[in-house]
Amino acid sequence: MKKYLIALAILFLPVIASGQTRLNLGADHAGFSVNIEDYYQGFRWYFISAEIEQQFKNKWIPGFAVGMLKEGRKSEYNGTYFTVKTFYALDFDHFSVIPYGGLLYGLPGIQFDRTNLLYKDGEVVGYLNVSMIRHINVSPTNIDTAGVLQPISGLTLRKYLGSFFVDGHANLRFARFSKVTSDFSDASYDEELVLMPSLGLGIGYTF
Amino acid sequence: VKRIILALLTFFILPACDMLGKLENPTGPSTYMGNETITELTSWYPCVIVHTPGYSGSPEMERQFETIAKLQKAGRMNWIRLGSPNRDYYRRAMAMGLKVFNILDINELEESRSWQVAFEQAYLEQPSNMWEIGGEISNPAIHTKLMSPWEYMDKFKELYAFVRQRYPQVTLVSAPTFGSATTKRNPVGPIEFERFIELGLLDMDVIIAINVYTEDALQQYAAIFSHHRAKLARKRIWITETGIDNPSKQVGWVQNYYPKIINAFHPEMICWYALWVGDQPGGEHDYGLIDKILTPEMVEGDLFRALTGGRE
Repeated sequence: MKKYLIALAILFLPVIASGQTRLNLGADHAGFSVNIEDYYQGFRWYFISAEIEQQFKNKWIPGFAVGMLKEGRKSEYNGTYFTVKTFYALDFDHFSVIPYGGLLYGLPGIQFDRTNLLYKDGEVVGYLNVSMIRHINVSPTNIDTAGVLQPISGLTLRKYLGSFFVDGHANLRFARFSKVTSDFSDASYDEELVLMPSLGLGIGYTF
Repeated sequence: VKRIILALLTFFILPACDMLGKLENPTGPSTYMGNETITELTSWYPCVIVHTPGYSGSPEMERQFETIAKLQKAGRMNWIRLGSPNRDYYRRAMAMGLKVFNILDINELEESRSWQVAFEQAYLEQPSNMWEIGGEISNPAIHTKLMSPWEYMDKFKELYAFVRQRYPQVTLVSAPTFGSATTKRNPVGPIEFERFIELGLLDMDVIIAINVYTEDALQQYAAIFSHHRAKLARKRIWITETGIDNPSKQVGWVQNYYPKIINAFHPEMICWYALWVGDQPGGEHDYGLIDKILTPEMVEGDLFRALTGGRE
């Protein structure tokens, strides 16, 4: 334990840890589709995000960012997440290319649940369903496995304008979806890893 | 200067971000715009809960069945879920060709020597093929004796074995859990539903029932469904109660809330609570599709008129 604390202390010595702290605000558009048999479901939505990032002067230490991401307006319906990212900035003259990776943790709401009912003689006789798999606890909810923990990665292109900057970013979120075909007694169940791409713009300020 | 620019940017950007959030919802259904718009009720399921305070010939029962006939004629009601067993209501519904979904309340079950005896007595009087066994077992507003999930599942499993052997034509329906999450941090119904699953509910050949009245409950039940989706795929799911206690928002409820229920729970049936909940304001009165049925000027609510095509 002691050696870890020493290592941490060395790592965060001012001469090593000094760097720039930035506030980023972003708005993104996302879209993807999942299909099950002939049932094609397209998802499109916007989300907003805010994060604080720390880029170290020492180029050997990758930067990190923590933030929040909010989809839509209704907390019960749309997702709310925390994000943690690590990034490495390739700096040019007033311009940076920043690849990053990280994790997204939170409640997805019910927006990624879709069902197509199957009818016969006016009665529901089965359904096709696609839905994002929740798999991890989010303690305030008191419901087991209500949340998701998903990898994210992406690339940011950033232009600095004095202390301000603007950026464009492309993001990929990796989520598992379940796919069900059922007539209420017989059913098929499958899982699929789905890539959820998004494109967005952001602005920020360097403190 | 930088700080002023930052403040100005924040001032404009935050509302802009807020507007972006309004633009799209991934599964957002159309919004009810009021009586002037065309009322689409494609999400409606033909099941309505009918309380049973009357008897054959009583004004309550006769008026209720007049309105049930209108719903049935419009193709909006094939199933009747009785509020409590009532022979007159059962016989009239059967005579009309409705499918009867009966219920044995926890109070009635517990007052009997055993659940098996209570069921047998009720079934011999009203041989419905579908029986809900209890409901909202931890709701103090409707039960004199509250029951834990463990006690309920023990007794439900015994009754299930009995019914499978003696009345194989009967389908049992598990006790629907609370439709409203009492609080976000203490969602009684969803937690109770999780306990039912842990105690073997999904291993039984019964219809799985839940009640859903709020957005919180919807999200919490959806999380549980997501976790157990593979097992639930082979189960019949019924939303045995949903509705809203504001007659002017009932059409919007079917247009906006029913699609969310369908997307999250893929139910075989959704039952509206309720046809009529008394003429006196207060309590659950405003959940009713109709009102003032004991007066000459019976009131048909917006949703009732929309369902029966009787909108003026």
